Amino acid sequence: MKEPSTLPLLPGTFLPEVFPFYFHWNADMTLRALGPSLTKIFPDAQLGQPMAELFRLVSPAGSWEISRFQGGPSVVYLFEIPALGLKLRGQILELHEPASFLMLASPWISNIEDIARLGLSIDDFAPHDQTMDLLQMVLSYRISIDDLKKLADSLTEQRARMHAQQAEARKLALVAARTDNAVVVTDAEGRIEWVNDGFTRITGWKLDEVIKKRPGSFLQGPDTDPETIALIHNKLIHAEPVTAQILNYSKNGRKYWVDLEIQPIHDEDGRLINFMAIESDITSQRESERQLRETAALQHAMLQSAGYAIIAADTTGIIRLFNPAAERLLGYTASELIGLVTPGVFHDPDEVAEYSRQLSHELGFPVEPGFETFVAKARRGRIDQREWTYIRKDGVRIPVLLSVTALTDDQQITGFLGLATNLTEMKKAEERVRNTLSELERLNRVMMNREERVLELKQEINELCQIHGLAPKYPSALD
Amino acid sequence: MYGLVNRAIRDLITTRFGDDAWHHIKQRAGIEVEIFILNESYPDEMTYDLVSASVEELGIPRTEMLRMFGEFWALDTASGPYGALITACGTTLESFLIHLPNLHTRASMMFPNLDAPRFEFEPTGKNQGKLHYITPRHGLTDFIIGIVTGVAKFYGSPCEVQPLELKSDGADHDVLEISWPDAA
Repeated sequence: MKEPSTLPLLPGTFLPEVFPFYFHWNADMTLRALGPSLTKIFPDAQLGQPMAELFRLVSPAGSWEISRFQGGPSVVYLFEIPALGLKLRGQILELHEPASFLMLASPWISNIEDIARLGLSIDDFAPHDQTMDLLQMVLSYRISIDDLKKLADSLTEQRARMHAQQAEARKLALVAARTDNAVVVTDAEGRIEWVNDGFTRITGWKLDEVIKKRPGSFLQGPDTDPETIALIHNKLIHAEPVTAQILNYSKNGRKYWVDLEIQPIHDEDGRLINFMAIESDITSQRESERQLRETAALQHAMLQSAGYAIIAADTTGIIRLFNPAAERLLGYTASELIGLVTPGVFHDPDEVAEYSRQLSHELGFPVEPGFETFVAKARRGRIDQREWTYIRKDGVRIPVLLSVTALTDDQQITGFLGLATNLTEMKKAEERVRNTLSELERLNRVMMNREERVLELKQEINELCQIHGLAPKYPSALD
Repeated sequence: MYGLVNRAIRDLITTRFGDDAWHHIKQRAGIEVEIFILNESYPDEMTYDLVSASVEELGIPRTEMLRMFGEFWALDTASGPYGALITACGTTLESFLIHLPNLHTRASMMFPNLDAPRFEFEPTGKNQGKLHYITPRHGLTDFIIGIVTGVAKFYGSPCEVQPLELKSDGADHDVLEISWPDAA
């Protein structure tokens, strides 16, 4: 049993100051008084108004009967003001003289926004009332939970990123270990930390022989281009990526060319931590390129210096090559024809038409007069060699012997090549020979006539000798 | 110091100077904390290190940096989830300052490790008063000045804050004179 209070009589302002949300009602269940804070937010409540019109008893649930409120001060009551959407919790004191009930209430607010909604401020709460503190605490914990969720999400994301990076690293390690290319990883100062098997295969050096060394110190030699060395050095100093082709030396002194790519590697904070170099052995490729250049130079020299016209066209007939001899033969410059016209521009169209008819008959299918006339046989793997009449730019007609073949690449026709020889001199020589032969024949006939006549004369003289009883003058003429 | 303050530093830096700047500042300060939990307690040194690192990284004087932090913290807090609580303390700067001692008492209950400073506000006339800032810590006066100016801005009444007495000059505690214009 609790001891009776020994407190002094409390001032009249005690109740409104300490329980500003109190409400007091009569035994007939009509409103008697409201605390100042309730009065502020519930101006519609009228003294004398039935409590059931203003408040709803939430717990213990029940109707507005005296017995409902006689449970004693140890019972926790929960009311609601439906008009405000506000709950009030507290304990009820049964008073006498007059018979009435006093609810020592505190608002039950779980949402900070309701403070402003209800028009309340901190001054409306008694200092001992923990409502605002609880709200602040709830708010703080909500924010903290959000922070923890963000942290958890961040950790999850980091873990996923880490797993992805680990997977990537495993793949890269696999690639680096098995690639035929040389892979070199150095520290930020350029000293070797790791090399792959490809490096050992190419250079002959093992990791334990070169670790902590700078690659250039043992891979470069007297024939390595100093400008390339300087370029690489300069880029590395500035932690910039660099690509270059460089001549290196293997452990046994063999020279080889590499296509080198060096990338700086930075950590998450942007600090340079490594360089990674990938080197592809391009020695064979460079040798092939050198041979190709030599071949091309030779071809060019041959084209330029050839005494016969060399004319190449693509598969559509457009001229793509027109060497100096062709220029001299036809009077056109290469720039006037290349990429612009077909060889038909300097052919006799009647000849082309005639040969087309012949080809159509020979090949068994129609050959339209035009570029196809020149290449129909070549297209079928045959060299077409015949005499044509070229018409120079100045209109002069020139006999030529033209051979046309197909150009192929991996069995695909990529164009056609025509070699034309000027037959003018040959024709002239032929003419001269014909003329000479003709003259010789005539002289021969003249000579033969003369001999016949001499023989006749000799025979006549012999007859005269016979008539005159003389021996024949020309016994051989008697036969 | 509670995560509440370090969060404000982080939010200010990331909002005004970018994530990279925050990343570099954390690096300088040697701090690897990913997220500061609001009601988690952190060593005071962490806050001081963050401030110093921010000063070095951004090249902003310490006084200006601390006031920037304070103002940002006040405005960020007021505009965020705590805004309703702050307006519950009053609708004017003066009412806020009058309730400030109680506000910090309540904060001490919620953050037991806070070792919160004490505030007392003494109105000295119309639109002015003295704020007494009593704390065992050093070097955060400009942070408090920033908070006051931030709160003043929140209430729409920019104020002037003048240090009258400073603990760093040998006074018992800091006394700041605050004045503000009439409400518009």
